Amino acid sequence: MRNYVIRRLLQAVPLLLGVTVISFLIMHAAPGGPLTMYAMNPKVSAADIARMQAALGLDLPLHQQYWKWLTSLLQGNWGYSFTSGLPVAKLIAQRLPATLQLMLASFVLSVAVAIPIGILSAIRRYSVLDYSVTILSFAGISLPVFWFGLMLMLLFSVKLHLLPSSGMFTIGMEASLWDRLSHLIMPVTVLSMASIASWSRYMRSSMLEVIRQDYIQTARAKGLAEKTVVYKHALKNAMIPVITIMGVQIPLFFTGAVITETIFAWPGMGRLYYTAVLQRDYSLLMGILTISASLVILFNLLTDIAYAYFDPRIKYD
Amino acid sequence: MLKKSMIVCLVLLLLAGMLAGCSTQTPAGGEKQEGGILRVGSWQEPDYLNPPLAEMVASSEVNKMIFSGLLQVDDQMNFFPDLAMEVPAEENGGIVIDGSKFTVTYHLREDVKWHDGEAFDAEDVKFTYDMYMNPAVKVVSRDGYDKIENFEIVDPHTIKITFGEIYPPFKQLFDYIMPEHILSKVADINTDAFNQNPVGTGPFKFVKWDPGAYIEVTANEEYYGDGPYLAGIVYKIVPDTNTLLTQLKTGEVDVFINFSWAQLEEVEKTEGVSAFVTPALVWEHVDFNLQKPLFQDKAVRQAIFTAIDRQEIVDMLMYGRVKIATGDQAPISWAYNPDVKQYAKDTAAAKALLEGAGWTLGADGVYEKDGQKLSFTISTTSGNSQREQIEQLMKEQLKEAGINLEIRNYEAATLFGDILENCKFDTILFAWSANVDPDCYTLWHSKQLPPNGQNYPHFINARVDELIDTSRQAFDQTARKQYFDEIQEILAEEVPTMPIYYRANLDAAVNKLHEFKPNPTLYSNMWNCSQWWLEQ
Amino acid sequence: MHSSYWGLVWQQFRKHKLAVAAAVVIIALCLLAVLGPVISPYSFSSYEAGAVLQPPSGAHLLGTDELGRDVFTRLLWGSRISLAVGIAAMFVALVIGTTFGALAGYYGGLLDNILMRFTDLVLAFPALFLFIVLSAFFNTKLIHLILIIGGMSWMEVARLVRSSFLTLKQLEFTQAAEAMGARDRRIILKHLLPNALAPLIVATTLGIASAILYESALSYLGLGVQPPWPSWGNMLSNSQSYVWLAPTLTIYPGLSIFITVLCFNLLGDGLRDALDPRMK
Repeated sequence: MRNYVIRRLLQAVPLLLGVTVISFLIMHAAPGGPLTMYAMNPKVSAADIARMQAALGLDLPLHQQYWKWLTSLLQGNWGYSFTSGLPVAKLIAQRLPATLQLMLASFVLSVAVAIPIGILSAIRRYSVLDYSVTILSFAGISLPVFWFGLMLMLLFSVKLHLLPSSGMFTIGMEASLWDRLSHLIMPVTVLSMASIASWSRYMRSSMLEVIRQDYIQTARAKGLAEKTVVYKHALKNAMIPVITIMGVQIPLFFTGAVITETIFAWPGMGRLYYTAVLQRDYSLLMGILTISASLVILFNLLTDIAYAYFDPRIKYD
Repeated sequence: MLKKSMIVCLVLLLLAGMLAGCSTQTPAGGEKQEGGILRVGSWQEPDYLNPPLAEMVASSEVNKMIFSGLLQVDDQMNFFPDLAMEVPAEENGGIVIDGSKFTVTYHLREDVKWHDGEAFDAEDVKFTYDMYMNPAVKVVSRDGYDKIENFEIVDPHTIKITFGEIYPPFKQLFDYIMPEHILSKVADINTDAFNQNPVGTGPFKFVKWDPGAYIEVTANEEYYGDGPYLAGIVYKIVPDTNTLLTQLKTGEVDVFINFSWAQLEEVEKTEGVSAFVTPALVWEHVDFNLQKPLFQDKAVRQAIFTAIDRQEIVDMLMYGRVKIATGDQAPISWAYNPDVKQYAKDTAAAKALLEGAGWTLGADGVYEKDGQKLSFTISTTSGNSQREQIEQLMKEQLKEAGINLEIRNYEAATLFGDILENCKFDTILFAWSANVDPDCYTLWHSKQLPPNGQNYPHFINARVDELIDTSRQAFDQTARKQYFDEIQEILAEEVPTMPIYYRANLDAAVNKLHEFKPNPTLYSNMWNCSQWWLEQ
Repeated sequence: MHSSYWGLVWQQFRKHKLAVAAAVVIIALCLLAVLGPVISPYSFSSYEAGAVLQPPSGAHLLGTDELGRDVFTRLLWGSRISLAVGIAAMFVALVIGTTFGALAGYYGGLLDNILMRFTDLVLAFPALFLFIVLSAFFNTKLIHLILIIGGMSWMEVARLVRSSFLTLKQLEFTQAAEAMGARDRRIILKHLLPNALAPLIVATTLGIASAILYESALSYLGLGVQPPWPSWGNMLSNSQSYVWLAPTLTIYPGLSIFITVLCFNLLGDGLRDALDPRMK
């Protein structure tokens, strides 16, 4: 296993490099650029644009631009954003805590809700509980996020005055834990809807599979208490599809929570990324993509390691 | 036009009437209360808090609170002095014309201090000019500054600027003055921390910028002008307009800048809040790509224009509260000419025009000529629901007249960066935002075909070229007006573009806020923030 | 041999009344999608200027939208696109993902490595940009949409199938089949795949919903169906500005997606039981 992990880590480097090259090419293939909005400004002349292009290094051939970026990155310089002139590392660092809070809270909530209800649905298959959970799960995926978020806001903020409608904190109360938590509740709920729905379905489905397998029947026949049967034998194996899904979806939250972040005015990476795409801020985008690609690669590795833990029969060599 | 300003006046009177019943239009007087933090909600975040580098409207809103300029523009589009003692004009000797050059003299206020205590003087104005002209600084545009031939500091509070050519929009220059004592010592202005931590001379001092969340400014106690009355302003960034409206309802913001028509009814229903509908200098239009053979016949363009029903569009989407556009100058501009060829919807007339030009109605209900169908595409920014609705209404209206319109939208940067810039469109729907000076050189002059300028339709007309050139060579408003009038007449006859409507800005503010007067120009709603005050 | 296998499957399936009901609803939906637009007296694009945002009435079953168009008709037209995109895109994702996952999971070693690193690559790169580039070069035909959405949704399926195969590969019946000299393809298709169905069915159901919603997100980038063509996804996003004036406009497309996805899920449950090799 150790050799396997080391091999994978070594492979991650060229993989990451490959992702950055392809991303770089795709970005530049997209029409428009960071200076598009300047071109629309009647006060900006063609000479002005040419000047700005040169200042941003955009007049260099593509491979030179990429090389410049790569060599700077390896020296610890992430570059400067085209739209705000701020260092990319600083921009990302500013938004990272907000995203991490949201991701972590959402992960905890999703796991805490999805796993138990998935298991319960499997054990009490075709019961009222099972059907209610099914219906609620699919409602959770079919409901548009903007609608659900707004409804929650109208209910809890406007009507009941229980929770603040949006933002990370009340200005002047940044230090208060309760203030931060009260701001976190609605965005986390909304963000977790889709993952709770998805993960609980997988949990239910794979629990059903495992419960019916021979060795479980054997364990039952031996007379072990129901609970032991379920938790010890079934759960571990049933987790495999679930952690597969988690491993794929969690990195996507890094830049993918953009709708939730927009609706709840949450200053996270999703919004930063989306705005950067619209503004073609290549410099900032390369920085964000490097991190998110690393997360994808990392989580897939973690998932593979986790398989070996949950199902000792799995071998990679 | 009168109707719109009546509405604004009525709203203001209503606000005034809610007080102790006497007139509160004058700043002097005991009615104004001091203190209070105002929360302004915006769905856009500023880029640079360094005005010459800033491109976004949100940036100019925040910068207006922190910086001052030589002159400002009020909500009636008149210039008034800020750091200068008076508006230079020929009458007061501020402008002296000498052949094709002219010299402007500014007398600067002597009681102005920067937020860090340093005194403001002519060196700062000169430095601002140098900053604009410095090729290493990423200023958005040096248009106008590059026409300055000589900058003379007569004494610490008097400057004389000589322009190398007649340039009527010169009063729009130096609308923000930058601190020489700070920025001249900086290694690289483009990436300096100043851009996120500015020092100005305006009514409010910068306190904090929490990225993605808010910007906080506090009252400048040493402000040279009257006020400020507010203790501070918090500029909150809330990217979703429905969330922003919710915040207005819960009292988490006091001002909502730029809401949508679909939200108007809800804003008006909200207690303690008033909606401001301010006609702006922005006009939505559909450009024809005159390089395409289909659009080279004027009859076809006029027919298309006659077939669409702009009044219906305005009635359905904006409750009839904006005006149909007749040209590129908005009614609030002094250059506006309403006496041009009108194009009310008339399907029969449109068909007559087409048939007169040799088109015949095909079996499928679409006109054809020489084997070509009268079919073309329209493009706009995808995801912009208002524009997509206009396109869909146009499509149905044109169908009636035997014209087929296909819709093909693109994401904004693609639309503007490629489809528009490289003239790949048939027709394209977007808006132009005019400045206080009605100069339209970049839009219609034959020397401004892309990539040199913004003449995307490829409109080439010798007479219009002449008129534009002449209009840029005089200061006298009356003289210039006749040129602009004729330009608008020709544009209405030739139809290189179909003006749709003049936009109105929609802003909402709590009734407790007084002196909030939305400004239709690019000088932003914050132009008089030093006068704002909150009822406690 | 062949017919009695499927006969058995059908018999098992019939026992699940809900699954059968779901299948009926899906067929009904497809019929509505095909016939409905033809029968409706309204077109999906013609509008009535005076009848904007009307509540349901005799003339308009579900009321009118922000341009005075009949909502029910648009919903029917939209079902063509959304159902087609949802089902076809998911099918594409299934085919690609299952192939990759099965090969990677069964053969392991170098092949597994290559396929999975490629999957990592696709997961990691900026889909948003890809869409923008594609939207500029392709006209928005339905087939392009299906291929694009399918092409961005197969990764999850691949990892799921692979994870199942990793486990199944170690089980006795696989090793027995290998020992008996069965060909790889036979082992994969006949022995392993049927046992890997459970998560696949969940993935398919959830995938149909996300494919439908994906189309709506793409329309923001100018890549989805162009106006005035309706899809459930773009009807949802159009309703966003009108949430204050007409909150119910959001409900109809959302409900349609919900019913579709729920039915596919119930169908899937029934199918999985019917196809389960262990059920006698």
